[in-house]
Amino acid sequence: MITLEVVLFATLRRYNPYGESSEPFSLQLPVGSNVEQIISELKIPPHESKQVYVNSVRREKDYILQDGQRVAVFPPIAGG
Amino acid sequence: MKPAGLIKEKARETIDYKNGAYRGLSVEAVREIASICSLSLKEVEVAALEAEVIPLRYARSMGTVGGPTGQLLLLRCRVAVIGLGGLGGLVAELLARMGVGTLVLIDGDIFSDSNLNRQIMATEAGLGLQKANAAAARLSEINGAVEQVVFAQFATPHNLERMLVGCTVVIDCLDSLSTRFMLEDCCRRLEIPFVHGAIAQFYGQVAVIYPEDPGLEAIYGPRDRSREYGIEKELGNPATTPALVASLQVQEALKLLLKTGQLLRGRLLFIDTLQGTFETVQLGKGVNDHGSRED
Repeated sequence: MITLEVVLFATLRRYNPYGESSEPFSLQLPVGSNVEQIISELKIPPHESKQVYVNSVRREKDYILQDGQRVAVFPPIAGG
Repeated sequence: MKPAGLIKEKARETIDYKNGAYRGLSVEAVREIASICSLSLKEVEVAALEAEVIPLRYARSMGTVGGPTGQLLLLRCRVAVIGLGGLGGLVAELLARMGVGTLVLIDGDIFSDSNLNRQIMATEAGLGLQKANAAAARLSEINGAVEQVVFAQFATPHNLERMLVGCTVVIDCLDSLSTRFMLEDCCRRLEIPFVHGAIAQFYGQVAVIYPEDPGLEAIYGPRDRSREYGIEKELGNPATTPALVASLQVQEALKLLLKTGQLLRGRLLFIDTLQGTFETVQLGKGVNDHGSRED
C-alpha cells in the first residue's frame, strides 16, 4: 500500500471521508494506483475534479501515485 | 506650442524618491498646459516625465513603478480589460489610477440589480446602462489622462482580434468558459500574454498565461462544450472576492509591464478565503518569469 496526504479545496471538502473539512487527511491505496483511482475512491464526480495537483504539479488521470505524495484537488471556478 | 517651458514653470512641489528630489506637476497644471499647448493630458504627462517632472497624481506610485521611467512605460502601454463585471470594473479602475495610458474596455452587457452587490461600476442610477459606457464615464472622472477605447459589445470570434490588436497585455475578467477559451485562442494568435482571474463565492484564482504556455486547459481540463460555468453558478459571488482577485490580476499586469518580480506564470494561485489559505500549484513545465519556457 501507499499512503497519500490529500487536501480537498473549496466545495470539494464535502467529499472528505472524515467530515467536511479542507484539513489534509491521509489515504491508503494499493501500490500502482493512479489519479483516477483516488478520485473514484473519494467519490468525487469527474466533472468536479478536473484539477488534480500532486506535490503541487498538475497531473492527469493516468499519473501513477507514489508513497508519501500530497494530492490537492480543486473545483473549477470561472466567475467574473 | 511646446510644453517644456510651461512644465518647468508650473512644476512646484517636491517629491522625494530614492535619494533624489523631483519636482511635481498638479492635475490643474497638467490641464492648463494641455489647453494652452493643444495637447492631450497624456501628452503633457509624458512630456513632464521625460523632463523628470512627476505628475503629482502618481507621486505615491513612484516606489512601486520604479520612478518616472516606470510611469512613462505605463503611460505608453495599451491594456485590454475584457468583461466589466465584478473583476473587470475593479481591474479597469486600478489600471486607470496607476496611469496605464490606453485602456481597451470590452463588454456588451448592461447593469442589472444583481450586479449592485459587487460590481464597482454599478450604481442605482446606472441600472440599464451599458457596462462599458458606465466604466468609461467613471474612469474619465478618475484619470482624464488615460485614453479609452470602448467596445460596448460582446466578444465574438469575428470581432475580438480587432479589439485586442496592439495591446501589451489583456486582463481576462470574463464569466464563461467558452469565452475565456476564445480569448486564449485570440491572444495566442496575436502573441499577447493575458492575466487570468476567476471567482466563486469565497474562492478565487489567478494565473499569467503567455501564448506559448499550456494555458486554460491546464487549469480547466480539455475543452468541454457542455461545461460553461464553474461552482460560482451554485455559490454566487460576494463583494469581497472580486476585489481581492482583481487586485492580484492588476498587480500581475503591472509586474509584467514593468518587468519586475516573479510572475504567476506556469503557476495557478488558488485562494480559499473561507479557510484563509493561498495555494500555488504548477500548471506545467517550469517557465522563466519574463522569458522563455524551460524544457
